[in-house]
Amino acid sequence: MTQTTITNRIRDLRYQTGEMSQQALADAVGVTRQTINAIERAKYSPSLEVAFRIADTLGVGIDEVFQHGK
Amino acid sequence: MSLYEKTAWASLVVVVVTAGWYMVNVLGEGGPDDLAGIFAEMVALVVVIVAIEIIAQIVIVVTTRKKDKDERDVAIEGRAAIYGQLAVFVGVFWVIIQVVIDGIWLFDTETISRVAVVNSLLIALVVGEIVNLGTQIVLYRRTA
Repeated sequence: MTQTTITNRIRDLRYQTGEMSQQALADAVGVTRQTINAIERAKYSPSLEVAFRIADTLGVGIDEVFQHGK
Repeated sequence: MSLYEKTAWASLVVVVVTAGWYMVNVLGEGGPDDLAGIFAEMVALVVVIVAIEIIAQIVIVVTTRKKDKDERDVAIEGRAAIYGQLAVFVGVFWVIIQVVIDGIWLFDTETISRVAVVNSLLIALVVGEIVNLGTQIVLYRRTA
């Protein structure tokens, strides 16, 4: 729940996937819209399971969604 | 605002208002001074808290779209529970220390009354709950 060094491209990928809304992504992944928003803004690091589900829903590999800022 | 953040806000308001009422009206001037009287007020307080919480929960559930608890809710709830339990532990330990100091080390024949001990423990529980709910709200806001 602390600020993480993991960055992500969820926002960009949502718009590339037919301008998918946060709510639509949340429903597909099985979390709340607030959690997607927190992940998108790098304020919450999801579990591996949720990270993979986000990548699957966006139709890309997990490494295209999440990057670790060294 | 998610369902569980709304629930935390509602519970915090209920606990602060009802516990505040209890402190002023039962522990303040003019309140009952026997254990039976205070216990009756305490039971009434718990019944009122439960009733208000049930009504608040129904209203929140009916007006909120997503009802399932997700992993972020669980993580926040877990961390807040640790802080809440820590506050209760400190409060209970403080009461024990007071009783021991008063009853043994000071060789006082009139030890702290049962009423004071019961109310001190109640305050510890209330503070623990406030810390728990307050931590949930802070974590929800911080990760919002």
